[in-house]
Amino acid sequence: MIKYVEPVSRLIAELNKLPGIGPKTAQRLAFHILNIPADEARQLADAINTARERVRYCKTCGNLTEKGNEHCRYCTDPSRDRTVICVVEEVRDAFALERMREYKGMYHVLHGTISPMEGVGPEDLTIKQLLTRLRGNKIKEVILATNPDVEGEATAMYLARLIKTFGIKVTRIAHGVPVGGDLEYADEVTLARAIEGRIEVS
Amino acid sequence: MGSYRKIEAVVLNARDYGEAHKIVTLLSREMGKIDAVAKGVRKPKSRSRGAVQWLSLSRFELYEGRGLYTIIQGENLQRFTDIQEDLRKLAYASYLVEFLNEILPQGEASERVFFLLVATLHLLNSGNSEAMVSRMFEVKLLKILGYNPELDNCVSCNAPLKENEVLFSVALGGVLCPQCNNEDPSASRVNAGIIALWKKLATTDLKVFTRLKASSSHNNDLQRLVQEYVLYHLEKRLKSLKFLQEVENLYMV
Repeated sequence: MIKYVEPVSRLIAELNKLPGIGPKTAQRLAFHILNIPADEARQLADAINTARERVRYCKTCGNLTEKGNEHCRYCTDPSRDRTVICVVEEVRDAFALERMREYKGMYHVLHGTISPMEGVGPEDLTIKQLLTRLRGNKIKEVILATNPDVEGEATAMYLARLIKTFGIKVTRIAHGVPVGGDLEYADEVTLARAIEGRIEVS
Repeated sequence: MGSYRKIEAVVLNARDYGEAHKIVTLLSREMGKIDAVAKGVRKPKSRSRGAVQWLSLSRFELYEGRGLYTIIQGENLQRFTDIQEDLRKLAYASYLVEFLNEILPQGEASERVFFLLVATLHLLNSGNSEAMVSRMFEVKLLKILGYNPELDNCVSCNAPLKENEVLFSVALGGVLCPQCNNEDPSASRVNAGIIALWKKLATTDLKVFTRLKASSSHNNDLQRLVQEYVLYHLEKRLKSLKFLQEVENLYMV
């Protein structure tokens, strides 16, 4: 194999570690970086550094926050409803929910899902922190918004069982046919859930 | 060049791979346990998505390339939805599937193992005692794979056992009579009723399984014994056992 000069091969190797980036793409990106103005390259390096240095997890909900702020902007926003917590798997799920601009409650990020066969148990998630929040007794409802796959369902069932002991209302997000979708192509399980969760038309 | 095959299989494990693919471990009727790549199945439009979900019984069309199987098409036959909607059943199923996945060698075709798994999932799905179904599966699987211990006669001197309490040696693979008890100092004392339950579960036909009854204390003792035995042979602790215990604790309160 032909070797590039050391700094270039190091850059390629580092880029190659990123998800979805194969050796060819890594090589292409490395040469792109070499060809752009030095300033732009510095900005990229700086952005990576700053993001790593300044981003922290919120002490309450596990969402992202900036260094210096112990709590994220959802937890500190006085206009949000503090009696509802929406439990999500990852930070990006909270952002997805935020995009719809309908939900005005709090979040709780688990940072993963229970996966019995991979050895990921409840203690590897932020479940303890969630229970501490529930003990504050101001919470009226917990919405379980984990993904509708095996692990997500397992996590939701586990949490539902735990949270019910607090006497708090637990809800699960609906599963159904996507907007703009086609009934004909929906799988049986999704359709069954859609029928189960049907609502009266007013 | 590669070749095409049609198989029926249960999805034992599914791991994300690359952008939208999955690598699935299948237990098939025709080829035993194999790994296969399912391309694009994490996209909502994928037609094979339902077929590669964990624990699904599906029909697959495979392409065999150089040492790697690719799923061309999948069609779901059975989903065992009750297992997936019940935390306790799910915990038990995870444990059984992990046990099977660990103990079974890759690519050794066995229709008996396949049918045992499918029958076990049906039994779990239709609301039979999770603990009993699990013991039956463990014991029968050990027997099919040739790990069945000696339960009638002493493993050391071959004398038939008549006592109410016997010694079970994990290392020697069977029961010991009182005269031979120093053959294995780590052998554990068990009630003969538990050994009888083991034998019964190993031989009872699956069709009449639902008629079998056992006290929960016998079941717990057998579970401990079987797990000790399995641990000795696998040389590793199964990850899902911890979760199973946590779920059981949750149901106790």
